[in-house]
Amino acid sequence: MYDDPDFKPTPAQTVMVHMVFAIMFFQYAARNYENAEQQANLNAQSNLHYHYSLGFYHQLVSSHGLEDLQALTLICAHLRNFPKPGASWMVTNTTLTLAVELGLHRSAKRWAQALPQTNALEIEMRKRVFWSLLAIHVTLSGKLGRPMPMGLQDFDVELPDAVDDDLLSEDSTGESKEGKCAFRVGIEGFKVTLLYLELFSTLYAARRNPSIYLDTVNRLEAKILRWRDQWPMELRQDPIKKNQEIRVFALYSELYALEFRILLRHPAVSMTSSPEFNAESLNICLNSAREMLKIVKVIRHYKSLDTTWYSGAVLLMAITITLYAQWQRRSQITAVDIANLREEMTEWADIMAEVSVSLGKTLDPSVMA
Amino acid sequence: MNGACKNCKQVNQPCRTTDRITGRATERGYVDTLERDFNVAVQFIRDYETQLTALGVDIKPFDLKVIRSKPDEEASLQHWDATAVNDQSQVWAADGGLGPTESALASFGHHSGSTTSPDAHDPNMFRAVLPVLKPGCNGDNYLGVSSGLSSLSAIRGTALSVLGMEIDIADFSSSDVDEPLSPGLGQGLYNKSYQSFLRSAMNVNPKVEKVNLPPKDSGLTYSLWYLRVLNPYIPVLHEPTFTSLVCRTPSSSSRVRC
Repeated sequence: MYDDPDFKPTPAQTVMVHMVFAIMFFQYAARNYENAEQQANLNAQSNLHYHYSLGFYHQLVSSHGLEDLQALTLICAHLRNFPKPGASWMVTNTTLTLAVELGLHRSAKRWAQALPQTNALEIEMRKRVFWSLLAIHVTLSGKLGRPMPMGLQDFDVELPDAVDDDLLSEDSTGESKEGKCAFRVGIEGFKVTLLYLELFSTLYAARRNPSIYLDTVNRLEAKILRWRDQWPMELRQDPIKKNQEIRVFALYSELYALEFRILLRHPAVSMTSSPEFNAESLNICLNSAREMLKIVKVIRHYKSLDTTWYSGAVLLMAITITLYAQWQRRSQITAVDIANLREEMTEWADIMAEVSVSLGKTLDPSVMA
Repeated sequence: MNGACKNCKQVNQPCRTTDRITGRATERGYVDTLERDFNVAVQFIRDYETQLTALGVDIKPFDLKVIRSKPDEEASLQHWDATAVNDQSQVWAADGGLGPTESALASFGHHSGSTTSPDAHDPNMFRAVLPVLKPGCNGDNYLGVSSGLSSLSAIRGTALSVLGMEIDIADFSSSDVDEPLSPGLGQGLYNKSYQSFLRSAMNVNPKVEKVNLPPKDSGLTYSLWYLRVLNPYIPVLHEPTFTSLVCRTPSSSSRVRC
């Protein structure tokens, strides 16, 4: 795009490049709030690249190829970053529908033989686009109380291979050098998406069944713990990491697990009157919320707090469950507990102040103190 | 002995009064006691309604006015076949499989129209389950369920509640995110709102004809950072392909260099 003035990119290629810039301008604007004028300028540029890309929407949808879906998925990713949900769910829903029309939800083994010209690169990119869309959709649908896009039995496409992009070509996937893969955090995110899909389809569904609540919680709890146990080494917490990006990947993986445990055991969705189970649930929620605070403080240190509205909602959930848990114990609470709680809330207030700024709203931390 | 007259109190006898028209004798204070018991009973019913609704049972809320207006109709708690809900044990297989089975499907939808939309005569059908829809915010509304637990809620879209407080992190005005107040004046047409997406995607907005790429150095830096920091979470870009697209120069490395 830069070096060849005669190059005529396709609409999909144009949108991919401009959406990357739209996203990056937005991220820079969200994280550099000290200079209001610069922030406004960066945000305006982001909106310009975004709306220029939207001008090609009809062409992308009509053309309906893999490249077009890559571009549309980037639009979904950008919409997901906005401070309010807006059109994000609707557009992600539409894009996933297009992906299903293209058969991206089906295993490559089902169609690869019928299409001899399909290459290894395309097979992997088809997987990555589908799973990325599914992950965005499940996240948004779960938080907005919308139905899940499909059941587990409706797709059989495999997870993407953990192969370095440099070794992925049209000819073969090759072997990843020493297990190197830049998007292992994404693959693990895809795996946990399946657990979230099951969680939102059961405990948070419009029709819930109390008779299998306990079995469902115990089963999903075992699954999330197994998911943590099978993480690759690079995603495990280690104070001595090679680079900051990988440290942040590990922190966000931990955050996914903690959020899951709180949603799974949340008192508001309990369907049992067992005081022992509910007490255990509240304890798990409280400990998970406290662990979440530690993780988020480190993420903040790396200036990598998520700018999305639903990340803010998750942090708010951790705050409220902490307050509620202590409120439930108010008859036994000690002065030390109160002091610790006050300190926790002060730390949370600092975090939320920064989150609110990235959402575009200044918050006075003293209001929450 | 509440409300007993002085004489009956002195001899410790039930104080009874007789209705002059019906001749029926009742203990004094009977009506007060009845009213008190009735209010307690109604409160119990409301609490049960809340719990049942939160569990997904479709019930008709207790409404005295409706019952009085139709005294001949059989009182019924449920609008439709209770087995439709009870059969949900079939909906989830033992291994947690998703999706309805045939038996559950057979019991769905034999009523015309939506069985889940509020009946015009029962405005409280989804009380304490769905929050009030925010007008003009089609994308932002939470449409899931929440329990009757009044002191805490799970995430409900951008909001949740704790100890009587409702906190909505999207409860702020922003010219960049909200629908413009005066689209006709051309302000806010290219922001992040739902309507601005639709206007641009459907070519209602004046088309943005051309947007220059950032200067090459900046552009390459942004591309590099995107591939390193954000693409790993949503890996829809193949690094070498995107790199060559940006630079239009074949690159054997995933590093963005031109």
